[in-house]
Amino acid sequence: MIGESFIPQSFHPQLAQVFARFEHPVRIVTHYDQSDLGKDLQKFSSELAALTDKIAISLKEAADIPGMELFFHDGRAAGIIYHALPNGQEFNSFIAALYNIAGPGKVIDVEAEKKAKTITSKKAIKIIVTLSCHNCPVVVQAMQRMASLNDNISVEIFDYAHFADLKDKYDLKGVPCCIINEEDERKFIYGKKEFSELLAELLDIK
Amino acid sequence: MSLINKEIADFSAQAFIKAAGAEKGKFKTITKADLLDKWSVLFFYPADFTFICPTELEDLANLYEKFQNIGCEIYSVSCDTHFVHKAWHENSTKVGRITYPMLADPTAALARDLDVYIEADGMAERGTFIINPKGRVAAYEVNAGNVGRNADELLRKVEALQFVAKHGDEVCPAKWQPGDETLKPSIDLVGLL
Repeated sequence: MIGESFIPQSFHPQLAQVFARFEHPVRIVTHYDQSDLGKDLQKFSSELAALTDKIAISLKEAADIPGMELFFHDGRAAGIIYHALPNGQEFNSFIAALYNIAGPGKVIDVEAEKKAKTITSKKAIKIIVTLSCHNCPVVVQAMQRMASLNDNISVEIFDYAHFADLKDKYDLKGVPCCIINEEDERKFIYGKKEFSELLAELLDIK
Repeated sequence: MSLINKEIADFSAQAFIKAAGAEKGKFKTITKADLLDKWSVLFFYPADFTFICPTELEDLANLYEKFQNIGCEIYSVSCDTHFVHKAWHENSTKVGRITYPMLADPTAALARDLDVYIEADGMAERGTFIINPKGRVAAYEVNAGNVGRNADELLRKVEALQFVAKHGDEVCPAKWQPGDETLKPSIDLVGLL
């Protein structure tokens, strides 16, 4: 994709409507390297930031793997990192993530929102997706919404195309695949699940 | 014609079972009802007291606990009687390690039902059938002659079938090859605002 534009001109009006609703600016820290993904993330985040003054970007050489890390306006990490170029099915997820941390965020059921805020132990979530998977955005959007509501929840999204070694590491049988607290419970959740179902799974971990 | 999704016929067969740690083996009647509501493998082999059979049956015995842990029962099946199974179990070190039920199919009712019966020989082909909890064939393979089977691969297949049965169309394959076209973004922000 290097050389081409990631965000088509035809998307700009719809994106402008979303950015106009942002209550606060957001920051994307792009951890880049010389890999294809690292270069693409650098270009994508720059293109996006050029569309609005509500998004600021910082470029940082990746210490480990490339990714786009999202921050609230007050400098707090939102706990959301994309190790994936948000193309294909995940473009909308990424815009939703920005909207969620800029505020007011996507409206969800009031009771579910309250419950999501009650989680007091750390939930480190890895989600493995493919950009052609139509089931993945449902899970990504739900998990990152929870992360935007609760500092104890963090989400990292991995594009399988760039991290194929994860298939063997986790004996991956399909996507979306969520791995919760890899170092402790190591709970796996497969398949399309709605916000309430995923919240129940997280609440189930003591 | 493919046997996939074929419902196994009603049957009643005698099995020889020597459970782990048991002092003596016993005979038990197994029917179709025993196969329902759980995953099962019917593992046909030509005959007791042959050479290649004990090696693949032993291979399966070594992984039996893993099959049990995923809720899958193993049944080895030949057209011998349950008395012959008992004699073989007591006379072969390899077969003596088997703790799963050894089904007797002397009338070839099961072998015929699953189309692995060799009429001329009165024996079964090396057929492996994975039966889902509804009693239907979810996967199978039939090997010619003395080609042995791989219990690890069988375990992987059962796990994969269980996974697909549980998650259905909620998942997509984790598949991508270098050189695949990069996906274009699509925009659909309806419902976000």
